Amino acid sequence: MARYSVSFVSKTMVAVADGASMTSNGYAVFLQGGSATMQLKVNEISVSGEDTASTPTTMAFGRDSVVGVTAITATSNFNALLDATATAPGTLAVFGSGATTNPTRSATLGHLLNPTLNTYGGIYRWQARVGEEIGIISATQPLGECSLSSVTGNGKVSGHILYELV
Amino acid sequence: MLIITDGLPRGLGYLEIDQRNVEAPLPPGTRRHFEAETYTCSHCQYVVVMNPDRVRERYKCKGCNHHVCDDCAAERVAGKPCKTFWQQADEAMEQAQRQTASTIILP
Repeated sequence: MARYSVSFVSKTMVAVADGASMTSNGYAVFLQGGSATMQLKVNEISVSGEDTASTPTTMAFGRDSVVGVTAITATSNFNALLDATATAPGTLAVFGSGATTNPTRSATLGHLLNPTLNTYGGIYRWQARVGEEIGIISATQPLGECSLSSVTGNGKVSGHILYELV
Repeated sequence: MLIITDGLPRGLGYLEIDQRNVEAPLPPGTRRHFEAETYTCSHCQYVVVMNPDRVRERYKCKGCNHHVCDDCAAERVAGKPCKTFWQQADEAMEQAQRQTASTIILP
């Protein structure tokens, strides 16, 4: 089906522990199913550091135990179809980096990937093995949302997440 | 016909951490440019970065015929049955669909 890129541009991370609510605009992005039966498959994540001084930043891409809801904002986030000839599905995935209720990274499922880099020019990139994409199912916890946020460090980052809306 | 018998995962994912542009000292032992293969645990979907120096065998689940992470391997060895992430997802989807399709009005 339709393949998408959701990106984040020059976002300054606010470190957050597992089980604690994130701060609006203090995380890169969350990606949530747009309906109870939606499936997303994440197959690439890239993070590029943009700081002007050494800033080791440990990030986490993983599932949220509280999903982002109510007044979702997507400041410096962009979501676009990758294939120009594809037709967008009727219901799209939900994405953003701010909300009245911000996501909370799961203490048990919140570290599917740990992009760690020095954001003073560092680059992190992961591509899934074919058929081993990270799945996001439905729109509620525990499987309905993943987010990319900082565990420690306040690096400034840009990057993208490529996913397929199944 | 070629039969592969070494039990190692193939057609892997790819991880790159490129810090060659970082104009700052890195912690001792940290490589400026790190590349590694990855695979995704079929049970919990954790992405396993394959340590090139590892010599211990990677556990392959006989239930789903797929490599799993060390945590899930320990659970399997302890007797937990094989249940892939997509089986869990199917169950969640079925449940969601049953809830939305239900027209029973309870008193």
